Amino acid sequence: MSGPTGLVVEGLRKGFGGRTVVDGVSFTLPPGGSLGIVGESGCGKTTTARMLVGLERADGGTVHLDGVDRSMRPRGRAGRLERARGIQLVFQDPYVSLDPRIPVGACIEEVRRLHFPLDRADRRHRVAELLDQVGLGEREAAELPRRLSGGQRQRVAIARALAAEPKVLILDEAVAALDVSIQAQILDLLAGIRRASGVAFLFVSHDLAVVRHLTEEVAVLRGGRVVETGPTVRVLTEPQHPYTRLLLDSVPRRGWDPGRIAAGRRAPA
Amino acid sequence: MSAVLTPAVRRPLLRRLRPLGNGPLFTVAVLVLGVLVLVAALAPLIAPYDPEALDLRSSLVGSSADHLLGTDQSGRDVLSRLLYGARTGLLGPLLVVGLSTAGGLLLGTVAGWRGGWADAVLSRLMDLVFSVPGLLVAIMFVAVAGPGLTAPVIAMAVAYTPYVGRLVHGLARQEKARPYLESYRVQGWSGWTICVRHLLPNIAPTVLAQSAINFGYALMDLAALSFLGFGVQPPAADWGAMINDGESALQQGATMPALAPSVCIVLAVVAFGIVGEGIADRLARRER
Repeated sequence: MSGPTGLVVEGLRKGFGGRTVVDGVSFTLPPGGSLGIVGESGCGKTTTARMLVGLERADGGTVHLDGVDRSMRPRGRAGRLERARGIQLVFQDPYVSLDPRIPVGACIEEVRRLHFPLDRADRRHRVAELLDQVGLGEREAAELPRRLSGGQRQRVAIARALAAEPKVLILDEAVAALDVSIQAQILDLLAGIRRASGVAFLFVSHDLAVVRHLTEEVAVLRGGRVVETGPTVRVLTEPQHPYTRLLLDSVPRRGWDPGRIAAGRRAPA
Repeated sequence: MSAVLTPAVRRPLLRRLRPLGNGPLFTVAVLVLGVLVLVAALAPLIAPYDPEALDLRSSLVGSSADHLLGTDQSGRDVLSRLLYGARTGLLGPLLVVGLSTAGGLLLGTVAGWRGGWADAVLSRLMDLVFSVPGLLVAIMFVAVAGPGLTAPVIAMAVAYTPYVGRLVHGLARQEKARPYLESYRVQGWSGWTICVRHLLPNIAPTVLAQSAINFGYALMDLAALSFLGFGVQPPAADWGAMINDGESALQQGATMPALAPSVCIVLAVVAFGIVGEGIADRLARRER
């Protein structure tokens, strides 16, 4: 194999107390690519994301990033840091994902200090750059998270994840907790960051509009299984799997009939 | 200009007067504790007599200008003994709370953070210690090491550790699942660093509240031990030992030698309780 192969996930499985949540999920995310994982609540999206960053241990399956196996828990500091620089995660709710005690600038600086201890001279410069990249300035950097709005906090969380200079950035429902108007700003911001930095995006969302805006490929998850994959545009315009069609029909729009959707949902797909 | 500035200048001052803004009872309790600490620190300067000086001619003298709280059976000045008694009265619980908090933080954090078998082993260990009455352990320790402050303090520290440990265990488990701590794991920090630098500071106020309450209980337990004769030995001034001493005085109609230290113990225990609850209340309000 030559060159980086990106993120390759094969047959990932996870159960909690006898209930299988993720049941053989496989997908590929090329370097610098963008993949959406969509599905309704409880379909295993978040569990999949948590396994990829090591917050949950998979029951089975493999995860490779550029050919390096990530299935094993890392031993020692070097392994841990190497793994962290592979994949970073932006949590869903910025109201709980930032340490309430630490000013947001310092929280980004910490990540730089952990991963790039030698660049002491330009650490502050890099932190300012990261904050600037997400549209925040020195004034916000000195504040505690509780003094910032939800949108600002999520910007901080994105900058913090980018501070480790990961190859893959997972965004777990990263705009779901925000107002619609703020969502659009954050999505634009993310699109810009991807163009500028070349980091690969794994966008976990229940929101098809968000996925359409930001990803080239999409995998539709249902009951812990991938039921359909393909280019985002094709999957969202000519869905092959009945569940994907149902999901698309569930999006509120003009002439939308919730009763019909609910009936379709009850029928076996 | 000055009219605009006044509120900004005044607010911190007001806050200092009402330390945590928990109402008058809390303030009184804080003052009581403040006085207690001052008295313990300044005992040699403010005590009118040597607390251990015997004067059998003036045994069981009532309150007078010479002896504000009278004297005990051996003619020792009760007030002086009370003031000196604040020293062991605070030192003992301070050591107990310090040691048990340290032990509880260590055991609780390891159990709560690691989970799995470490959790099972440490939790059962704490249950075991928990199920043995602390005073009984203390008496056993004294039987081996002899009476004094050391053996009861070590025994009570062991007995109090599970109280802190269980609290920390629950807090650590709860905090570990919070995204802000998970984000440190995703960043690649070691569990040790996350616990020391981020988990402990975030749970410290809650633990502090519990420790303040424990301080009162430890004071009471240590007083009970010295009352029973297992703790600080006479003629050293100690509230618990003073009550024991004062028992025979009671039979002769002198209430002060036993009553005065009892009141001190009750005041201190209640004050620590109120302060602890006050801190806990304030935290609960801040959570919301």
